[in-house]
Amino acid sequence: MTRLRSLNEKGIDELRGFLQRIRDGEEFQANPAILYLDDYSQRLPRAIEIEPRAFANKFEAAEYLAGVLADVPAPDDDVGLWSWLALFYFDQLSPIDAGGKRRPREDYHYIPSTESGGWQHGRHLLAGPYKLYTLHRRNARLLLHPPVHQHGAFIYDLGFRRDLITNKGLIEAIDLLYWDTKRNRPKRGATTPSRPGNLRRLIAVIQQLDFNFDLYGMRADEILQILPPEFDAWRPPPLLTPGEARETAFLTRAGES
Amino acid sequence: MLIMLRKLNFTERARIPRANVRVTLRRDADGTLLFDPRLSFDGIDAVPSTRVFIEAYYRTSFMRFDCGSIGHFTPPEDRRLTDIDGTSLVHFRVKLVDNEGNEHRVVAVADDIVVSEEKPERAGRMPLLPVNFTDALGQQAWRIAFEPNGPVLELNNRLHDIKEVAKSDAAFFALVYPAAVRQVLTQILLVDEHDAHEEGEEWWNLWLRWAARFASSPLPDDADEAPLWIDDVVDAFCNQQTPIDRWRAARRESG
Repeated sequence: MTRLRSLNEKGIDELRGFLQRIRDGEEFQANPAILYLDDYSQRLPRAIEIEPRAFANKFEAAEYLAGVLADVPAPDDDVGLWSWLALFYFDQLSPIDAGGKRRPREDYHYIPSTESGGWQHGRHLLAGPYKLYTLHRRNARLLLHPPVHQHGAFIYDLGFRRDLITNKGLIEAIDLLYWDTKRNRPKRGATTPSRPGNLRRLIAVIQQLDFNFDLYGMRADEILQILPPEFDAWRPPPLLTPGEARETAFLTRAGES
Repeated sequence: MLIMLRKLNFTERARIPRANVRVTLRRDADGTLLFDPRLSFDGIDAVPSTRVFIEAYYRTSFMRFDCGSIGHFTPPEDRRLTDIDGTSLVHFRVKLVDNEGNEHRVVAVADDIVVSEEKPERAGRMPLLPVNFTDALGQQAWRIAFEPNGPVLELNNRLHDIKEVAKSDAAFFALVYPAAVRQVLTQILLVDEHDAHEEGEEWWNLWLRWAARFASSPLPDDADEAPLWIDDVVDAFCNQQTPIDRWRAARRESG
C-alpha cells in the first residue's frame, strides 16, 4: 500500500519532461522518485492508502478510485492529484504497444488541462472516468468499457456534449439500448455506422427531439418511449409482471410439448 | 450568391423575447461565479404550472437549475456555476416546460443568452462580440474563436492589465477591433457562406444587420463582391469610431 500524494508545480514540470523523454525513446522506469519525494509532491492532509492494481477497463479503475477517494475532494481539475495518480498507474495508461514501445499521448491525458472550456478538458485518462462514474455509477459501464489507456467510441461521440453526458435519464437509456447484459459488454454493432439505430444515429435523433422535449428532465423509460422505430431492435425486452411471466412460461412449455 | 430568405419555425415551441430575460454574473465571497436571473413571462402563452429551467453552458460544460414555475418563479438559492469551466463568459438558456400529463414538452425557449462577467447582459441586448479572458493563447495577444453560438474575442490574460487595456486603450481598439470585424464578416460571407435571413436571430444575421448600418451599398448578391462590401463596412466603421484620431490624441495626452 502507498500513501496517496499530489504533485506540486515542480513535480508536474518533471512529469511533462518524463512524458517527453519517453516519446524521445528513453526507457520507462516504474515508480519514479518524484512520486514520493517532498521536493516534487506532497502528502494529502488526510492519509489515503492506494495500491497498484491492474484494471480490466476504465469502469474498474473508476470504481476503485471512487472508493479510494470517497472521503476527499477530488475535482477533475485538481492538477496535482490526478497527475500523481496518472504517474502512479502510468504503465497501464501508456502500455507497451505491438512495436514494443510506450508511446505517451498528449500531455492532457495524464495532466489535467487547465484551459477554460477547451476540448482537452475532461480527457484525463483517470479523472474523466472517475467523474462519469461518480455521476452515473453502474450506468456508466458502457461509456467506461474500454481499457484505461483508450477513450472509446462512446466517449468520443458523447463526451463533447456536456448536456448529454450529464443527463442521467439519457445515459441510462443508452445503457438499456446498447449494453449486452448476458455478455457483459456493449452489444455488437452499437457503434457501427451502417447499423440502423446505432449510437451516432441516436445522438442525431436526440438532438432533434431536444427541440420539443425536455430530455434532461425525463427518465430513461420516458426517453425510450419517444424514440422512433429504427431503435426497436436495440430496445430491452419489456419487463413482465409476475402474472405475465407465469403465463409466458406456461405458453412456452405448452409450445414445446 | 447571397439570398434573402424568410425563416420558418417547424418546431412547436415559441421564442421567449430577449427583452424578457435579464441575467447577471457576480462572484461570491469565495470568488465562485454565480448568476442572478430576472425573467418576465409577459406575452408568453403558457399556463402558470409551466416549469421554468435555466441552463448554463460554456463549450463542453453544462449546469441546469430548476426555477419553479411561471406562477411561482423561485430560482434556487445555490446558483453557483461550479461545473462551468473557468471563464468569465457564460451562455444561458431559459426553457419553459409543460409537464402536465408527464409529457415534458418544451413550450418556449430563449437561447444563446451570452453573459460576460465584465459586461453584464442588458435586457433585450446581446453582445455581438463577447470578450473572454483566457490563459490558453500562448504567445497570441488575441484571437477570434468561432463557437457554435457566434464569435468570441479571446484576449490573453497573461498580458498585464489586459481588462483595462481592452476597455479603454485607444491603440488596442485601433489594432484589434477593425481587424476583428473584418475577420468575422469574412467568416460569415466567404467561409461559411451564410444566407442573410430576413428575420433570423442567428448570430450571423445579427452581425450582418449591424454591418449593413455602416455599408454604403446593400449586401451584394454576388459572393465575388463580398470582399469589397466588407472593406466598405470596415472603412465606415473606422470613420465613425475614428480610432487613429483617438490613438494620436491618447499619445499626445500621455506624452
